Amino acid sequence: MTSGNDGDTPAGNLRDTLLSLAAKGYAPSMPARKGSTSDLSIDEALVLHSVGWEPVELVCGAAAFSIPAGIWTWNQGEVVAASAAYAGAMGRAASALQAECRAVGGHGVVGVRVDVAVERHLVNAVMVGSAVAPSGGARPPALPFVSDLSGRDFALLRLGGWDPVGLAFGASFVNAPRRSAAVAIRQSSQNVELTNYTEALYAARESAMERMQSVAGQLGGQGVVGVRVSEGPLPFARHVLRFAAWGTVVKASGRPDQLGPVSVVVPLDDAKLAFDAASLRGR
Amino acid sequence: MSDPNLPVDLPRDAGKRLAELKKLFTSDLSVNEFLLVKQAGFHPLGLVMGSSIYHTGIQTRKWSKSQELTKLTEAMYNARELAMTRMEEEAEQLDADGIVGVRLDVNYYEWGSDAAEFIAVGTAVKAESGVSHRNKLGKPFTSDLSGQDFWTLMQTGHVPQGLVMGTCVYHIAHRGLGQTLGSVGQNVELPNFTQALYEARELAMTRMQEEAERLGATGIVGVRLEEKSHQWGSHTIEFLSIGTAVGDTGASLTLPQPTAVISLDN
Amino acid sequence: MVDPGGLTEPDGAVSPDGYQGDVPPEASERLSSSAWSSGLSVNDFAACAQMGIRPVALVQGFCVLGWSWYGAGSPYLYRPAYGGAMGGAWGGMGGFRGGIPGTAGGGFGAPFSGGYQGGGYGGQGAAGGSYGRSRWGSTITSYSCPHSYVGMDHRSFGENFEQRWVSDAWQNGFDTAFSRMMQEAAAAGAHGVIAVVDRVSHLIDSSIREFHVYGTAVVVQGAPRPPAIWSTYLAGQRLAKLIEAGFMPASVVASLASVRVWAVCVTQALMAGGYQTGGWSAPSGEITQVSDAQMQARRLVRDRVKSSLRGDTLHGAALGVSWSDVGEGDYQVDAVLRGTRVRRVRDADPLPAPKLTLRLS
Repeated sequence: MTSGNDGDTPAGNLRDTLLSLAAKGYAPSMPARKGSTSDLSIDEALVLHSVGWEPVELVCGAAAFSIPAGIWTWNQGEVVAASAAYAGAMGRAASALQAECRAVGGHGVVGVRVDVAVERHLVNAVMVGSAVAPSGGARPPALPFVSDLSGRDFALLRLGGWDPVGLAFGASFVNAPRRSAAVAIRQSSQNVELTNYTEALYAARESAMERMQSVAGQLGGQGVVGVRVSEGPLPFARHVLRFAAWGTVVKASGRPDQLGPVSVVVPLDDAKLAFDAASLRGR
Repeated sequence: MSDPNLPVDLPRDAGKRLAELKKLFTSDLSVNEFLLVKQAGFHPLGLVMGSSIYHTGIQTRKWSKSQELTKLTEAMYNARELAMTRMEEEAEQLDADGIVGVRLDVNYYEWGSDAAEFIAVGTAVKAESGVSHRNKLGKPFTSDLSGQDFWTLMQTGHVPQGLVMGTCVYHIAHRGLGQTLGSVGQNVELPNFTQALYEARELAMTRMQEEAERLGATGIVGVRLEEKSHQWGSHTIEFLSIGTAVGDTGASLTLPQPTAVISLDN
Repeated sequence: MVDPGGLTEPDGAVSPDGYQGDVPPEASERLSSSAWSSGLSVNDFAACAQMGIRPVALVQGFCVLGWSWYGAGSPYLYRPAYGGAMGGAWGGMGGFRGGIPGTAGGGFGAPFSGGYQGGGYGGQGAAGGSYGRSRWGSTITSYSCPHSYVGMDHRSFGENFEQRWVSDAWQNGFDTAFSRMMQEAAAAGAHGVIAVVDRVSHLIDSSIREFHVYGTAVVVQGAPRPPAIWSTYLAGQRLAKLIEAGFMPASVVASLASVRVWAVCVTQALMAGGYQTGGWSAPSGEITQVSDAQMQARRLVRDRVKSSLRGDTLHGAALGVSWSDVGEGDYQVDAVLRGTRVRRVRDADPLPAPKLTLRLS
């Protein structure tokens, strides 16, 4: 929230509100129901509320896939078994998340944090987020959506006439090409492009993105937003490079764009995020 | 040849630099902070600092006894106090009302074992209205508030009085072999440890609060609790609590009511 | 969990060494001083001032526990004298001083029940199945070997079990520190505690774990004392928004769940890269037992917290999970969930449509 004089918010009498609540001993306004949990920040909860959605439950999905022994020796090309294990773990985790969301009556999961650990013999994918549903109590869909967008992004997306569909992901693991000793020696004293490296890395990135796109296509999306890419050598096999990309698949909802005009503000804060979910617990 | 106007405590170079500050100001405030300090009715005068290199020796400790190491506590406290006082003296020289954005650091150098430099740096400010904002002791106030925090605090009808701190260097007893073996495989409370930590932190906080009371402050905001072993080994820990003491001016809250916005920034 | 509603104010009885309940004399002295202290930032302070919330004191509580994982946590090293040993431990746990509200007392579960539980079913362990009791803790799911040949060192049975002694010790440490903080708050005459910070750290060495909980005790100016002191991780503007949205914080809640994988042959083989075991090779693919454990730890901690909500809502949950491979295919997952239990105290106002802004910075 920022300060301004033009606001006609009921916050003006928060002091009185609090006093009247205290006088009633903070008695609940409705009979106790089944408790619910959510990891949304108050900002996210409020902004979801403003578009008519409420959090239902904290949900998770996890999957561990094995990587066969012996595949980390320095070969050529892609480490197919590792790519397959990665895809398997992500896919299973996402569907476990979906299943849990369905079980608690959610329409979808927002703010999913994707946590994938690749170990020598193991890919461990974990997804945690908050299941949400519209306040009206409509029937949940057979396949809830999964999205790594924050509650705020979800609300904005819906206002803009788009719906999240699911999570798309793709990964590829490739061996760095070997150079012959002669080539290595020759190149060590030259400033030249190492074309074989360029090609290998280029191809690996392309195939990771290509896999992500094909998942997005299967989900029936029109696009992927907020794609995140992680890449780098594996700590236990430095010659293998990992490329992974994931993002939220979206499609047009057919509702009109309800976003109003944007007003420009000049903040006098020094670089702070307006929505900072991690800092919500304490400070 | 010493400048008669300069406190004996300060080096001559400082006097020269401070004299130049009568003409221009220096500050480590960001533009945002600078503008907000101006909004609050203050003008920055200059960067002020104080430093003290202190030999913080070692005190004999009983291996199996938890106790405060009073000599070390005093050393740590005095060293910071010296640095702060020198910074305040620089601010006095500038005829400042107070200092904002104070940072208090401890540096260890390779050339001196057990010697540590305590340094305090901040921006001296003065009220444009000419009304004195000095604290009850007639000294410039000090605070670790940023420019934004300074402005906000003034809007709540409070003024900073001084950076207050309390410290306690505590030795936590080693466990005897018998005790260690006795609790293998048991996750049980170690009451002696709990008690020692409790006492150490409470002592630090009480001392901080006593400082605030000496300044006639109504309260302390932004208290931080820090723990450091410095160079004394893992069983000797300094517990430092530090915060800005504030006084109530009796003025009413002048903050505007907030408005709900969705920021489109990342 | 500590029930903050069950916390009573110190009865005023002062022991000969100056303790009031668990609150040591140094603290009592500090809390009675005229100046208040607070861990609030200036922004939080300003937001609280706007709501008529005034800080009264920084309050804190500690509990230092001797901490061990039973020799790397291996069930093979674990002594079956679990009930007895822990019973003794809890006896010693009688508390730092006066005892711990709501947490002291009894062990949990039957000691060594002998033999393995459950006939086991291959592969797919249905999560949320019956919680039997085995010698190691609470069995969540069990797994049996799909092979017909069983050699001497072939693990024909595996299970995921909850390490209740870990979670109970953690809970005890946290709740004790928390309730001590609340005792300080009661001594300071607080209505609530905001901006709570909890730290669980290794102190001095890894065998000692310190639980430190602190926060700023506040009063709502002009309001009567609430029936129970409330507490929250939130402060300032975020607290204002929560109240604005029709919620009132009730209490800080935190729990840990620790799930241990005792690997069946297939899991053991897959965790080691699918080598041959007893003449049988495991197919590459999902390691169901580990997937299950990852889900179970999170579900357990969520459901444990949920069971303490009493119909309220958990807001701003933070789920932290660590896992480690403890050899021979064995695996451990620890999940910590913390957040603020909030209660709806009035209907949410329809929120004014937020304005979109773009910062020029």
